[in-house]
Amino acid sequence: MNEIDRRIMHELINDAQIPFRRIALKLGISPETVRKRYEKMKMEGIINQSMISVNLEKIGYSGLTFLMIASKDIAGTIIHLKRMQNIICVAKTTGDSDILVMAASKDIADLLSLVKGVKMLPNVETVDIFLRTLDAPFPASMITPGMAFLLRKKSVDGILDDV
Amino acid sequence: MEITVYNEKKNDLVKFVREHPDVLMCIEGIGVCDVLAIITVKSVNELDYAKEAIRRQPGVRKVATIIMIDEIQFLFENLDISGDKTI
Repeated sequence: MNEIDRRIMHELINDAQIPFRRIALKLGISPETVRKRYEKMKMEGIINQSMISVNLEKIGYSGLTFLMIASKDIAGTIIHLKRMQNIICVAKTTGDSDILVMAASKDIADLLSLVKGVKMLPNVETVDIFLRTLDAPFPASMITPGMAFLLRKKSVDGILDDV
Repeated sequence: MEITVYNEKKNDLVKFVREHPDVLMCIEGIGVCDVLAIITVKSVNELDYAKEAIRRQPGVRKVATIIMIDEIQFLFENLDISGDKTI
């Protein structure tokens, strides 16, 4: 990665939907150079993936729950968790728990159903819960610049291809 | 990091943690802790530094660490976008 790559990445982190043409103008290089360097960073795994950021509240979700799970079969439990509705994030952890899960819920029934479902999975030993309180707009209040970076890593490729 | 903090100091703590550039997420809630923060670190020393910095904040009673050892897998395809209960 050279300085131009870093500057391209910086622009994409700030606005993942920025057209290559605009990046090119800002950096004083050609749009084709931006596209080539972007593709190279993707090929080399520097840019993993892009994703869209969804306002969950607008599609009917009102709560966000974190589950800290201890399991005797971490890999097996993760496979089950990845198939469960409303689980939007899974990460393997070490410490008091083995898996961290983030799940969205529409109401309390949704939440109870999720927790019950996770507790019933084979090999799950304990499930600790952290429920985000709804005292601020969702999800903007939880997004830090760092998280925004993660969420913006994926933009829409079609837009990025607009050179 | 799972942070337990006295209620009157919670807002100040959240503000302090969120200001750090390596913080991916910092939210208030109820359950195993009062504040949950996800922080990226490059080494164990950085982790220790971050933990101590939080622990030294007024009102903080306990800081527990959970270390993510793999990349975070996002599964937005699990969301129900059928329109039921959609605002």
